[in-house]
Amino acid sequence: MFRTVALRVHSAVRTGLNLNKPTVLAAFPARCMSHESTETDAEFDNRYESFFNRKDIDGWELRKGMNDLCGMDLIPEPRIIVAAMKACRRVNDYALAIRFLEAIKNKCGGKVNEIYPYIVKEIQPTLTELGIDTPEQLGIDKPELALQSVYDMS
Amino acid sequence: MITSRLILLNLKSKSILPLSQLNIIRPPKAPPLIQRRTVIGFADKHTFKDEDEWIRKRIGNREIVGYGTNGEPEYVDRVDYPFPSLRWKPPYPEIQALREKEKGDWRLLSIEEKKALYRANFRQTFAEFLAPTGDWMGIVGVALILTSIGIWLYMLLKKYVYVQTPMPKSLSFNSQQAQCARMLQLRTNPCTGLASKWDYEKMKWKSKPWYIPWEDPYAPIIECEEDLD
Repeated sequence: MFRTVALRVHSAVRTGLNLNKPTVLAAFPARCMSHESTETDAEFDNRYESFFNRKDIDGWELRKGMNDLCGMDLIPEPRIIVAAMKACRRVNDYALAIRFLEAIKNKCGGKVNEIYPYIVKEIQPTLTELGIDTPEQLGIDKPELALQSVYDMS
Repeated sequence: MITSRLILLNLKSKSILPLSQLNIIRPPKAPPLIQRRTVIGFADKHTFKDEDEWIRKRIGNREIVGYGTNGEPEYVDRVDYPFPSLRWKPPYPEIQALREKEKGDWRLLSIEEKKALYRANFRQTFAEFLAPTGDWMGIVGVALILTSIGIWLYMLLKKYVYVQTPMPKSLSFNSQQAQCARMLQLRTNPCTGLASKWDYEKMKWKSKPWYIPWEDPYAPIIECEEDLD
């Protein structure tokens, strides 16, 4: 009796182990929950540039990509901005391009006088080609309208 | 009994106008004194059968053009999510014509048209929503007013209340010294507090805390007449 039970337990445990072994190994790399990103800066730039260079990009994805960039602790490289400007041209949305330039200027933070002129110098050929004005040329780098509060609107 | 019935009958027969006509005579309902505007928010979501209907009720015929901040159909001007999920203005004829023109060469657009396109998409520019509001002045002002009210209350209590009902005896300077000695005897707070600052072998302070005025709390207390009361 005991022998039978022991054999059965033994075989069951062995099957269980054999079955579990590959599952555990397979499951482990899939659950990389939080670890440092191994992406280099160049890879990051390439990824975003190719994202904005996609031929079938639409307004939704473009906004998503630019929103993500604005949420990160970085200022995008000029070539990413150029790709984004061209994407704005492809989806025919002028306001997005201006808004993104404004956001870039805001991201320069305290070093706006050093970084922003450099970025504008780098992307100026594209801006001229596409007919995009910088916020300064449009005159919206200073507050233009004092708007009514939404709570006072009828 | 009989008379009251008769009266009722009489009244019925004498009724001049049917009810439907009475309604016509009634003056039209006056508008409420306070016009309450209905803002449809998250709390009203359950009152709609369909979520799309709720969204449409909130945003009118504005276009949903992106994911926005949190996937909700809301317009917010934020620096970290500069592209909200809605266009700010609902489509109107002029802007629709302008959108057709926008599909062409952008160099042909005038500055006003470019600004109109921007304003149709976004409520405020970065420079506008980052401009200082000056609200801090009111906040500081109200805070200072409240603080001064507190100081006034303290001064009035000192002047009029605690003159008539004196403070308890245990608040006298001598009692505080005795309390300090007692706390040292009880070794209160021996790790970081009072007793840790006292050297029990040499019977003096290792380092006297700034809030203790006595070099030697065990010194004999000289009682004055006030304390004896």
